[in-house]
Amino acid sequence: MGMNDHALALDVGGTFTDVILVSNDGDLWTTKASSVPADPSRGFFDGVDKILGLSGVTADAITSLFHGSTVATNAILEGRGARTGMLVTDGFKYVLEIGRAEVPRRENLFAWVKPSRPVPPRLIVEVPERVLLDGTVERVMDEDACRVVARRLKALGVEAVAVVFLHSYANPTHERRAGDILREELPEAEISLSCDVLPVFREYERSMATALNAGVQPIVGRYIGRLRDGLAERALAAPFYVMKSNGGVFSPEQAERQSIQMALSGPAAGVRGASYVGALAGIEDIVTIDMGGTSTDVSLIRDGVPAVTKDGEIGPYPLSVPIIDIHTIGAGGGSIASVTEQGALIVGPRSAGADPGPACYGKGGEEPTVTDANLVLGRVPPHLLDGEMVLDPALAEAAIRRFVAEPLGIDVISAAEGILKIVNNNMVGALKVVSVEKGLDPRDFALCAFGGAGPMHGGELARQFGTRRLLIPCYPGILCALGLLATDLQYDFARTRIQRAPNYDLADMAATFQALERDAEAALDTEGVASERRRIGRSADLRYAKQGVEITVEIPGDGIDTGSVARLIEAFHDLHERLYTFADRDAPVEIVNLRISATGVMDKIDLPAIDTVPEGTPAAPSGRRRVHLEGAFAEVPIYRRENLKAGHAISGPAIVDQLDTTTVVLPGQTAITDAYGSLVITDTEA
Amino acid sequence: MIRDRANTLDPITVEVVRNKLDGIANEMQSTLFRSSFSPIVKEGLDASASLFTIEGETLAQAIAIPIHLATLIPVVRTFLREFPPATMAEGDVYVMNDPYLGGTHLPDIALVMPVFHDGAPIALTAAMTHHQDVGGMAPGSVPTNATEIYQEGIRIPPLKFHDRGMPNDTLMKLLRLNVRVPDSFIGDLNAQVAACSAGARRLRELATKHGSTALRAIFANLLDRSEEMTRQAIAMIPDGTYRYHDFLDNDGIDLDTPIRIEVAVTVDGEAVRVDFAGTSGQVRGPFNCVPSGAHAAVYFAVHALTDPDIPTNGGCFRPISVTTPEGSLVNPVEPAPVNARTATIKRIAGCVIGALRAAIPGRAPADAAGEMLLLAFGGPRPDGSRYVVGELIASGSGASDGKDGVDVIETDGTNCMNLPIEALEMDAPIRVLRTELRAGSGGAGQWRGGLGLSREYQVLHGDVVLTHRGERHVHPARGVLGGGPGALAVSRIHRMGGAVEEIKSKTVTRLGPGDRLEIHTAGGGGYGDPATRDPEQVERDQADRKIGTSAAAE
Repeated sequence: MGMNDHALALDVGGTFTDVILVSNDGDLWTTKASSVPADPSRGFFDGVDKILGLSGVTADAITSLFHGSTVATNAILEGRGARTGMLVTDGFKYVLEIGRAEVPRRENLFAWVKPSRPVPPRLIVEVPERVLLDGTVERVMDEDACRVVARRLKALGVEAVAVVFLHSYANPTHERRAGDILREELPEAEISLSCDVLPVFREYERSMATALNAGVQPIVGRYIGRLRDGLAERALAAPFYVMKSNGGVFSPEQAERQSIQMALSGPAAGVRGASYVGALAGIEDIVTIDMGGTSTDVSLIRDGVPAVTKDGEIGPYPLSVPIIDIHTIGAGGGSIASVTEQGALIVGPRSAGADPGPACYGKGGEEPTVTDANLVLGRVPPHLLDGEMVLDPALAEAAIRRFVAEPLGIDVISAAEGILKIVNNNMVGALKVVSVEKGLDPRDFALCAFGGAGPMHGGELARQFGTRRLLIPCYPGILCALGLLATDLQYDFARTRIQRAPNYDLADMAATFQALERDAEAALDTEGVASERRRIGRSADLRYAKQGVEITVEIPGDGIDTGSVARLIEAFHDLHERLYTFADRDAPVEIVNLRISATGVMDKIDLPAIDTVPEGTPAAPSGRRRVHLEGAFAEVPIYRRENLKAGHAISGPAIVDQLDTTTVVLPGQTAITDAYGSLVITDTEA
Repeated sequence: MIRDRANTLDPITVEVVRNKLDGIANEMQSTLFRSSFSPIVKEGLDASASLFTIEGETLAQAIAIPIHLATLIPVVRTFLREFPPATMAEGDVYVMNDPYLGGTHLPDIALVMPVFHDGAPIALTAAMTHHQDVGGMAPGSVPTNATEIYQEGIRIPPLKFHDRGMPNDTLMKLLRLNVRVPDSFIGDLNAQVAACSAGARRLRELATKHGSTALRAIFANLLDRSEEMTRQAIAMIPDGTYRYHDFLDNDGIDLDTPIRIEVAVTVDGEAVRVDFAGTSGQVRGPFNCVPSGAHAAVYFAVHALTDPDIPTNGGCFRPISVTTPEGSLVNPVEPAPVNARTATIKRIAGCVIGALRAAIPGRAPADAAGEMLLLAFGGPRPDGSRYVVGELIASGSGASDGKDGVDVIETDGTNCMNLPIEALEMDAPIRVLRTELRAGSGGAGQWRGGLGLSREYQVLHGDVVLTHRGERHVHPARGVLGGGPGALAVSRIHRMGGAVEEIKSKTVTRLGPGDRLEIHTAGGGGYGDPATRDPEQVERDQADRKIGTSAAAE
């Protein structure tokens, strides 16, 4: 950033729009605005106006603008995509409807109902054409027939059309020609081709990605249109970037075409934020836990890089574009505690949400939540957001008494402790899914806890999970917005080119990589990325012959020759052994997909370092509060987060309050403030 | 009495331990999946991990495939008889696969490890894996034309796989010589040991934290709780004896003889008894199913119809008893072959659901087609290499009150994924000419049955061996309360010369270049009078071409 540069980031969530403004000379402002689910652009501009007013910075001083949005996410999850039609190869109308014929593994096998598809069969039309897996045209597309069905879709009133032909990754000519015809016949509609959205094999997953992309395109397009209008009104002309699910950003123009890439924009920004504050603290291997009101997102960072998956999901649908691998469970601060007929205490999956919210909000919520338990135990102060929000401990206590303590015949405090024990236990289960169940040892990772409720539970989670370090970022409630300021432009390109051992076609591989690199350079050209800021990475998806799942392996260097392919195969065996405990070095290996990732390196936020005191200086408490920790109430010192300086040490038991969250330091734990205000908590006991 | 015992325990600790046990079973299962060699485990998830009390009751189970529910119970019982807890030692691992001693079919090998704390065994961990090959007359050890168990592979009685931590080398040598891919076979067994060890380690941590006496009291409480919940759910079902029967097409040997499965389900207060009297005698082909499979199917069906949210453990099974006549399809006398019993288990589950339908009319769906068509193509590629591709193709589920059946879906205890068309064409010189929902195949009704699938394959190259193992070619999935039956499955071969051959449900035959195979899987039964169907639903079905003229099969 140059002189007087300001970067602005807005993360629009379900309840709040989080805003950060940072200047190149070390000033930083944060604020929150209420989100407006009916029109998220209103929350966005409330946030813009609020932070400009608060900081006194003028719109023309903003030099870059970053945005995380749930517009695409919500349109998919709530089935509010545009009316979408689809063109498919003759004979294959029902690919989307049939799916993979299985009940998803984590679903209740007995109660599962097949979710309706984003495009129903009546809006899917067939076109005579057939391409084979090597790209040969077996049956030339009947263009007249294509035009006839395009007109039929027009008569059916579609706003968007997806085109998915078999093996189009090997030869996109038919899809492209069909796209031209559609644009002639339906000039108003958004057209989405599978060879652009996801040119890799497996027709169901490709169909789903293309259909979802088509369905959200008009919605994202309209939303971005409103943002452009509002920004123009405010004369805010800074370059503007949108968060993608893969942890990078792209331009609004790209977002309008590749809207599906925004499907998990919000949580991805949080993971990016965690890897950023981790790097500042010198921590590269992290399990992240973002605990919000109704759900909790868990993910894994290794060597500073968030784990990426190509087998992700959005709601009930598979999502095969590369996304940060995030495991979500339906439990958070608003999860409701109840007792079953058989006398078992359960927490969630029901949630009080933001409205009526926990009982202590006094907004009509009767049932006790995790937040109520935290309040009764004194862990949360009765005043939040500098007194903007007042919590009522009596309501919390009454709710826990009626719904948990009395049915179980125990006292309210034991009941509140029980609620926390059970919810923490569920959280540890989620932490294990991304680590232990993948063969990784928690002791090799730090836990980064954020979101409104994360810092309250982090201490106990770290102990139960068995990590040695707990990292609480400086701004746990707005880490997603902070993450937006630590991203790069990031594009992924892939193509299926199957190569069977031992006859790898090196010339074909090299040509495919060249074609993908041309696409990548073109994308970076469009964004005006200078050549010294470009990074091109090559990788390939490999598998043992007959396996149904591929592993992505990076290819170092430039050329493709026998040596580099041999190293690629060897790297695959090694990675397979690491992931699955064995390698079969005699088995033939297939190279299935070739991938290029293109990065345009951007300026990162320069998070201002805070004032320092000598390492280990005890911090001065601002008061004391009666808090229940590890089985008993005690008068516990309270610290204000904003008063902590780098090097300050706090010995547990202690509570650190800040505007939007509270950190609990357990007896036996020590918290040290790092140079950027993060708390690094370790166990002194063990 | 049950409530008394519950009250002496801290309910929060009980719930935390229950969650931990589920977590341990899941960790064991992921260890199994990650470290197994067999593609059947990696792709079909045909493996399961369980925790048992030292008395042999299931504590927790990770189930990728529901028919594994409870199948380890008779195995564990056999081990406890052969190696009573007093004789168990730390580091012991037990192994067996024989169906006639408590196993399922020979490829499923079970390993069980006692978990010690303070010098005494407090629980058992168990892992079962479908191995790629256990010898016998055909690669893969599931020969559809077997007539004796000896043709299906090596039989392992209950033996020590490890004795106080020392591998049983004699057994290892014997096994290696009897299977086709010994390295991956032993590798898969080691993966099972790894899974059992992971579970044992976690259980020991729990015992250290809570003390083994308290932990065993919690185990007992969890079992009691699930038993009580199941009993309460059963008590809601009106008392009486409810009967149902259905058929498998044939046993793969005698192609014109259907196989009858009959159940009498008696609901008596808080208990359920299932009697298989009236079921066909054991058959010559491999569709026989030892009692453990019948038990698994019954537990699955009862669990599905009571309250699927009841935590699954041995307590759920206590109120249920099963009688299987000796010498029948569901309790064959050795050496009857058993490798293809999955079709039988699926149909049993369907029969129990069918019987209970009379007791709880609103809650049970109409018959599911329950057809899992197995196709295997084997032949040469143009480059001279050889391929074998297997496909499992689903059918339609039954409609229920307020819900149409699901089109092309795994039901009745199996849950496998299909093969993408683009993956199949990549693997073998075979072209898929079309893949469709089979219009009109769902049983008519106020709620329509789920549709089957239509698909056409063409062989492009070489001499291909085709294995086709279907169901529902003879007896349809029936509708209820006036709902119509689902369409029968139909498969035909269209030879290059123009000849058309109908497949009688099961066959092993040859296809040449240009030959086409056309398959149509069966539809599910309908629910309620078709005349009362909402006209809007009919219109939507017509628009989606889910009903109406089917040019395909008829």
